[in-house]
Amino acid sequence: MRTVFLLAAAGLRGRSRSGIAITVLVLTLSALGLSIGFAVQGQGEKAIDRLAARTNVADVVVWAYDPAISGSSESVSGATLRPAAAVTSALRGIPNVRAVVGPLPFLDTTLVVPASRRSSAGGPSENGDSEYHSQATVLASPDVAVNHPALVAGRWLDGPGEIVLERSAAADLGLRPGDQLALRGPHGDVSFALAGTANELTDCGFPQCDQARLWISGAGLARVGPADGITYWLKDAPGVSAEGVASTIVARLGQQVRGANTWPDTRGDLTRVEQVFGTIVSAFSTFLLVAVGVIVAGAMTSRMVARRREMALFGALGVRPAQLTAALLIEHLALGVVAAVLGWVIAETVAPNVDIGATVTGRPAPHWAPHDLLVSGGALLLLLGLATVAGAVRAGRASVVDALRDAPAAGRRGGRLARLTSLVPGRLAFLGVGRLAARPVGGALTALTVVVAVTGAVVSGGWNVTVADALTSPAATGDPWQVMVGRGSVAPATVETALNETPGIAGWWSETERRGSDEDQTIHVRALGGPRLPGYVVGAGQLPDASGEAAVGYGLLDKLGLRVGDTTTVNISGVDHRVRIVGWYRTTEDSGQILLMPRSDLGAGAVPDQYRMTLTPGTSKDTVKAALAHRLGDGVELSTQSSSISGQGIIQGVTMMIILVLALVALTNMLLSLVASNRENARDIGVTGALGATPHQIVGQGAVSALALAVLALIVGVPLGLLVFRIQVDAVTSGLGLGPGFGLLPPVPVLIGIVLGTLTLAGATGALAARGLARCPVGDLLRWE
Amino acid sequence: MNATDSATKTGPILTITDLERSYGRGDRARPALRGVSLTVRPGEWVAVVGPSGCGKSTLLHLVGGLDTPDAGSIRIGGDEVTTLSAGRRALLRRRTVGFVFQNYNLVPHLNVAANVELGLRVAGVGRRAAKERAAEVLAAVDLTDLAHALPATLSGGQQQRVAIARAVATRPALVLADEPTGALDTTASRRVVELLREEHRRGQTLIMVTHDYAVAAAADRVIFLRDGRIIDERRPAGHSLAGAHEASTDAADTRATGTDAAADDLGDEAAGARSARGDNDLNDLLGLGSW
Repeated sequence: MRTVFLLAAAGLRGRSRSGIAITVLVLTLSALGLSIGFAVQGQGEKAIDRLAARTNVADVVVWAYDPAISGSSESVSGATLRPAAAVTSALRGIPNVRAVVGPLPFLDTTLVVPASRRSSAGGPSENGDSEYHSQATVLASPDVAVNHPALVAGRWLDGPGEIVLERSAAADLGLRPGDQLALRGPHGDVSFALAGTANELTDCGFPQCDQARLWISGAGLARVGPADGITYWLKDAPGVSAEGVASTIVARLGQQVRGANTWPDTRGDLTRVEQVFGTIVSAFSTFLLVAVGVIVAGAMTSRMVARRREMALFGALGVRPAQLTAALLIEHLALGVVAAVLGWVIAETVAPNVDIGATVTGRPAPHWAPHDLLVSGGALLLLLGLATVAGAVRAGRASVVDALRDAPAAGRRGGRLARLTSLVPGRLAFLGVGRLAARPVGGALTALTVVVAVTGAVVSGGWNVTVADALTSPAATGDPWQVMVGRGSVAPATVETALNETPGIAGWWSETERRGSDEDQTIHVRALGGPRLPGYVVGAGQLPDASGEAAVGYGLLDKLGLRVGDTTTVNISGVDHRVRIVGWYRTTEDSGQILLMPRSDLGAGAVPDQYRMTLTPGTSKDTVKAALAHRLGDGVELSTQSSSISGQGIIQGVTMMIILVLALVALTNMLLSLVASNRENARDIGVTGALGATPHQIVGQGAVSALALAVLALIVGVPLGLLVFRIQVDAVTSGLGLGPGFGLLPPVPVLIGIVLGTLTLAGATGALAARGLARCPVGDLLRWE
Repeated sequence: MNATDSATKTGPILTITDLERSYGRGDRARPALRGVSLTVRPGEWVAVVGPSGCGKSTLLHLVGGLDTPDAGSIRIGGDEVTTLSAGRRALLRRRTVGFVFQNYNLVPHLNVAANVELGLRVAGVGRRAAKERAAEVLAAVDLTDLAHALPATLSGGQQQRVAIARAVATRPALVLADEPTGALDTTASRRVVELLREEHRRGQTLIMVTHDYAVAAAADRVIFLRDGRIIDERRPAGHSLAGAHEASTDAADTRATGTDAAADDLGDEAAGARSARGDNDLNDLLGLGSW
């Protein structure tokens, strides 16, 4: 054992400092890539689940009408509305509901933030202040049995002049406890002080969800205006399906229910972006894992080749092959441990900055999870160990005599694979290629890392193009509109007349929102009316155009296991509707779990809840919005389309970073491999120098050999990248509700850029690898050992 | 410049003046050559002998432009070599110098013919012309049948013959042979020396470094090097300084026979006496006349 450690120590001491540094750098980059994948994945989900447990999150959230508030005991469609007490009783009587908090009055309102605090998400009003949709819920004390908000900053409200705002909205809007803001309601703009901020999970966080949630006292709400309805927070028995409970509620309460939300749906919304991001990072981490494996194998193989004489000497001195293998293993693992720890530390430090699942809970502080180190470090050390043992066993079988006589290694003497050299054109410029062909395995390993980098670049190019296109084409992701009008208390005819007469509106349609259920699944039903159908991107089939037809988002198609052409029964407000699925369309709203149907199928009493419109080219959204506001007054809710994909900047940034890491790793490995190859062939290079090859020609041969590897890598990597991207993007977009076939392949200029970039960098790397030897006196090269 | 051109010129083909080269720096500097001066005429065969570490190979490398001296001058056919850049020296080597090394230094993944063609291709000869010339020189060294063999499949002697073919293929002004028989057995050594002699008969100027005095006896002139300095200069018996070229041509057979006999007689004795005996003993061993 002592001999083994002595050999290992000698091996480490025998390396140059720069050699150790480069080896550790390559391994650290590999470990970093592996670690960051583990660090980023799931940390947002864990934070959300911790918050859910801490706040005893509601399994089902119900928004309902209250005749005492609306002043009418009938719904708009004529159904009888129960008083709040009856609704409460009905909810408590639903099987498997264990606790009910409510009724809590709520009001959909507008949060007005002074101009000095405006963020990019809001739109400026005439005086420069920003306005945001918000929902104010009466909650005098956070100490409720279910869904108690977790205070993050400041304190709970204390009087009618204060509000508490959800943490993500406050962070996004730059608000802090003590700031002054206003709520706009029927009584106009009313000033409030921000008492504190809190986390709560009845819905996704602002700005992912359009509404900023806030809590207010009853007296404070009365200052703004009468409530729009009442909300309840329900806790189910353990193990009970929240979807099933929500479905029962909708079926029993019918049109009394304005809306319902379940924790699984909300959690899905909260974690969706992180899941997408996690999927992308995982895929790239897989690339990195393959690259690491290849690099490690190549680096260790090169090291074995470079040290074959030294190992033969040890063998001649009596060191057993097993001892030599163990020493090499210890030597390489020592470097690997250092690299694994460095990579883990850097990854965990960086991870919070790329946590795009932190919209609700906020960015966590860096924490170094030993589990992540064990997994990523273990993977790296395993690869190192396998590559070392394989190389050492092979080296141990080599002839000691040949090595000591400095005869060329078997690969260079002309084994079967070395006949590949006969395929190399017999030109002076290809001498370096011939040297690589004489060692096909080493050359293939080097080319493989470039393949991985090229594949990753193509995949990243596709993602960046896809994400950018999704931003600039809201219709592609289910938002084919530019201005929306929430009807509120204004008569439909009044709104529709305004839409027909306001200049700049190219077309409009109406939407009537319902909750439906299909067996045990609650679904979002949207009934379409008006002169035209919305411009959703249809994946297959068509949008519903006749009675009995329905189209679904891809998410619902997938969830219910439907196919275009199937017939299904949907219970809407207690009434069964038999519908035939005539198509599916792409939308990320509710993860694509939406059913579209003609409004006429809901019956005469169904009136539109909102209208969406498209504008003629060149028309300003704000101009139309202002015109409609002037015409329809304060009773309507107006909003304009603002495309944003949460975390888009981070997605693009991190994918670019991973590509850079892959490229850096591939080029560094290529450099090391070519340097090792050149050193092995130093005498041959010296011979060509002795024959009259100039230093420039020697550098040129090095560049050509690297270019040859790069060409091979591009031939494999580009098509592979396109295939991998297609598979990956289809998996991700299907999960988002957009369905397969959404992704855009990288355009030709991008692919050309990847090709040229790869060739340029490879050529430069090959030239750099040869430069050192080219500058050596030829006499020294001829005496190279 | 090639051997034919140099043979028609009257001036020396190689002039070395006060050449110096050291290895290492400061206190650890070890002088390899100290003030070496030497002139070689066209068509001359010069052997450089001396004990191990005396600077023989260093001298050869400097002449071939593989290394640069610390001081001094080297002129090949009138061109100063020492002031040229590495690239210029490489260009000069293409048609001016041919190398034969002790360990052959054939490119292992190129076959015999390709190894010989390599020097021609580097010198800018076209592919067809290079192939033809390579075939010609391989025939001269009797290796036509092995043109497609890889170096690893050849014996040492065969590899050295390939190296000689490569060296002379471009018809260089100088052939520099560094211990051409150092790794060979006696029979192979004789074959190689015979090859060199044939080239010399064709007018090739040869500078050969060797520790084997029997091999050195084949040359027109023997330079003795010790501790980086030329300590003596002799001619094998039957040769005078003047008209060395003519003498070598006329007396080729006689000299060849004599050298073989000397090699047979001396054998291990010469090897054992290499660095241990003084100049007079060496003269006796080699049968060399004194100045």
